Amino acid sequence: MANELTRRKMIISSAAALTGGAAAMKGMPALADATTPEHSHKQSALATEGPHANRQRLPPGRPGQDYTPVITPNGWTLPYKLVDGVKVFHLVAEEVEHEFAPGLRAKCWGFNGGVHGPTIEVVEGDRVRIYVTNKLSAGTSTHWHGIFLPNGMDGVAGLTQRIIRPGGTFKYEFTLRQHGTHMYHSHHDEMTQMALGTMGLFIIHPRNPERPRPDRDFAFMLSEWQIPVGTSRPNPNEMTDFNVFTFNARVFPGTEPTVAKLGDRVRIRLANLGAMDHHPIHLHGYHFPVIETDGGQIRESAWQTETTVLVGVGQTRTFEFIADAPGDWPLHCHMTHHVMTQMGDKFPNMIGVKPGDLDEKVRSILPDYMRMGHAGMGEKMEMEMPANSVPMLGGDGPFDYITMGGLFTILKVRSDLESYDDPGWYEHPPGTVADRAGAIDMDRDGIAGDGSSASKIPDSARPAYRQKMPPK
Amino acid sequence: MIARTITRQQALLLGACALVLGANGCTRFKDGIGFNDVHLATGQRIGKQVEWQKSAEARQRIHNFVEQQSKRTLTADGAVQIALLNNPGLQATYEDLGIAQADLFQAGLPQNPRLEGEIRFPAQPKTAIETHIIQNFLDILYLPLKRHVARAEFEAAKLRVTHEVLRTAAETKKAFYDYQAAEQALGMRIAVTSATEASSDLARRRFRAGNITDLELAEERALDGESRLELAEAQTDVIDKREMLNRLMGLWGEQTAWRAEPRLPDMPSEELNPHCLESLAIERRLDLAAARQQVIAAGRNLGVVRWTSLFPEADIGLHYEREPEGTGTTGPSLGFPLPLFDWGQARRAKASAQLRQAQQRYAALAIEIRSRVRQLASRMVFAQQRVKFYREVQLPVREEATRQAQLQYNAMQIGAGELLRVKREEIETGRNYIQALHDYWEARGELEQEAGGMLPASVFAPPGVKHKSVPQTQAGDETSKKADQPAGEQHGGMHHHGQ
Repeated sequence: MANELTRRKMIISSAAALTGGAAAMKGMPALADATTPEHSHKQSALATEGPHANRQRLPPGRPGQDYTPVITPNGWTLPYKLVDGVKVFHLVAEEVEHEFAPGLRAKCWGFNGGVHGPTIEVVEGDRVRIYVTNKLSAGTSTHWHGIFLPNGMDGVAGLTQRIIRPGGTFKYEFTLRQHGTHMYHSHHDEMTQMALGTMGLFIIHPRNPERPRPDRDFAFMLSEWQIPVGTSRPNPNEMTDFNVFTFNARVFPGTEPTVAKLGDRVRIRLANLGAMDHHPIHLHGYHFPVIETDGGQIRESAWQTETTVLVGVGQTRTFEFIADAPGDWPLHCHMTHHVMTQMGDKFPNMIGVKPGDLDEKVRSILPDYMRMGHAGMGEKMEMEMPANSVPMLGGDGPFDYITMGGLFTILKVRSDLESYDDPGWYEHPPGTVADRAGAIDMDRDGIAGDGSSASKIPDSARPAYRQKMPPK
Repeated sequence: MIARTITRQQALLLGACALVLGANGCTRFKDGIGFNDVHLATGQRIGKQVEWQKSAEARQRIHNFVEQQSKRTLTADGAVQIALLNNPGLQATYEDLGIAQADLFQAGLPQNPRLEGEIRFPAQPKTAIETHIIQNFLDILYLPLKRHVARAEFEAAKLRVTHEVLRTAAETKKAFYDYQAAEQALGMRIAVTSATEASSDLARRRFRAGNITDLELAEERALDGESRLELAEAQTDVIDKREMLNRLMGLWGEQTAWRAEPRLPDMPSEELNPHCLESLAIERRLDLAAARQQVIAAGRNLGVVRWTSLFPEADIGLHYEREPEGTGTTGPSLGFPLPLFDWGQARRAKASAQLRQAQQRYAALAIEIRSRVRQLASRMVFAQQRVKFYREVQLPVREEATRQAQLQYNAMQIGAGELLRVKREEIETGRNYIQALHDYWEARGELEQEAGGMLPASVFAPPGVKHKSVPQTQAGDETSKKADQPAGEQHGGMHHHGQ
């Protein structure tokens, strides 16, 4: 599947531009699937030296007309200036006081007043000029992850460019000749700077899309942080023990829901620039094909249908589906500690501990003591917390407290929407909500409320069972 | 003829007897003088009463007073008063006064005349009689000198006894504070044991639920056990301190059931101004005054010895002898030792040596007093700063740590065991605070004693006078602003007053 233009396509499109037929571009016939070895070779990065280098640029793509603009929940898209047909962007790397969820703020390193950086959204064939101003207290550089460009624009400090010293402004310029979900991030002292948040999404729309345009296109940057409870700066030296996991630098209940109308074609792009953790992102209520990686589109015959897509560190994955089931569907990482915020794994195991009169004994010297953890972490506790912290688990839901945090957001599909603003909680049709089993139902089905009518595990499935040895 | 002779002789004799009887009349031994001065001085120095239990009535009165006091809550002052009235050792010391008084009296007594009589046989025709009355007359001349010396000695004895009274009072006060500190420390230990007991209980429950290892359980139980052992030691300590007080107050039986406030009094905010303490102590110290009296006595003694050592005694007498033939002779006699071998050279040397010794002892005591006053003043000042530091910085910081630990526990970042550990550290800091407070009261009490019984208001500066401060962390310690005091001139003024 081609994700870059062939020379033939380009000549036709540039001819169209010269003749002022910009509108003609939109109707370009989709080219056949190019699977010849020649094309495969041309797709590789090695091809930058060849005839594809210094590709002549195409007229800049326009949002809404040439592509459905991507939505970065809890984030924003960086606007550009058009200067002589070149899209000019300005990124400013600086320290930002960022809110992960109401009640949890930290001093992070982001761009243009936000964490993570704004989404850069362009079209295949656009020429971009990106100015990067460094207002951090350390040197930096910006690497454009997975993008074909002249080696000197690659953004690897020390190797392909000088370090952008604090106070300096560098210029990156290149023409995009691919499409897909990509990222940008610091490539100087990566461990520190990325752990503090210097990264963002870089979306390149296809010039000649082969697939229908999605109605809703969402992009998420996955990341992880170590913020000890009560502190207000992430610890970038942490190697394995992260405690804050984020969609676009937010944790539930601070994650904005993704809203779609019933029947919308929904595309979800996931990019992972965390330090160490891969994330298996799971969507309830749907299964979906993964249609794209950061290397390009996957052809349909090679699609894998998933309910959970594993996004490794440094990878992007895009999947698509038709939102044909209404409701509030969680979209979350399936690692259980990743859907908790600031989980303290030093808390001792209290499951099954019978407290007896222990509480009174402790309260004689610690008046505010209350026992916790005896029944897991599901109880919502109304107790004073350290400053600048949020409860480990979440937020109020329509039925009860939702014991989720971290990498958790909600896809809200509704049949009647006037706008894509948050429509509130789903109103379930009667009879479709799991609730207390009624006496009539239980009698009819012979169910005893105390569990006595349930089958017990047979001996054959018990671990103590040993297979009988055949007689000699 | 004999009648006439006898009349003349007897007149002499009668005259002598009259003199003697008259003198006797003036030499009636009066019991108990001198104790009044002790009583007055004690009242003046520490505002307490003393009583010499010499009669059954006095003993009963004191017994009733003690019974009454031991039913109420005992205070430091109350304990001191009971001790001064009831301490048997002190009562024994009062007899020193009796002894010194007897010595004084004895020094003023002239030697008794000596009567000698002999009868010789065979008693023909008349019984031969020889009688001799001898009176050491130089002794009478020397009496004023000897009384002079003895009075100095008596003064010294009074001062020593008063000093002993004050020392007993100070010891009782210290014992009382020791007791209060021990009770307060016991209270802290009980709190620590609650914490370790709760921790151990939690560990047992977690073990029963299958959540911890045998090793973790054993370690928790060991920690709890150690805490209980320390608690037992603290209980023993309280009993020790109680008994010390009982000994000092002379109590036994039901009287030992007294109750006192089980915590040290709060530290007063007045700060010591040590400038004139040394001279104050030199002026007011009774044992130093006693040593001074000893020097005076030794000096007087040297004077007396110089005068009397050549001829320490000489007798005059009246001699009557009747020969067997019937003739009698009467006549005066005179006798004195001839200073051939011993002309008092050793006695004079000894008296000189005694004088020099008394002087050296006096000087040594003065140096010691000065040094101890400086030492104790320093100790008191530093103890006060430590107590302030604990109160204003260290205890609040520990309390904050406990509060934050409670919040971290609420956020499930630390467990109950860790929370209890932080609480234990707060309690330990509390114990150290009590120790510092005890150090203050102890140093203050000893300083009062060293300064002669009490510290007058003039040695306390208004708060804010600068002294050398306790070392502490600098910038970044937001809560230590109040305790921050720059180094001052602590050493300057104390010792440059003449001895």
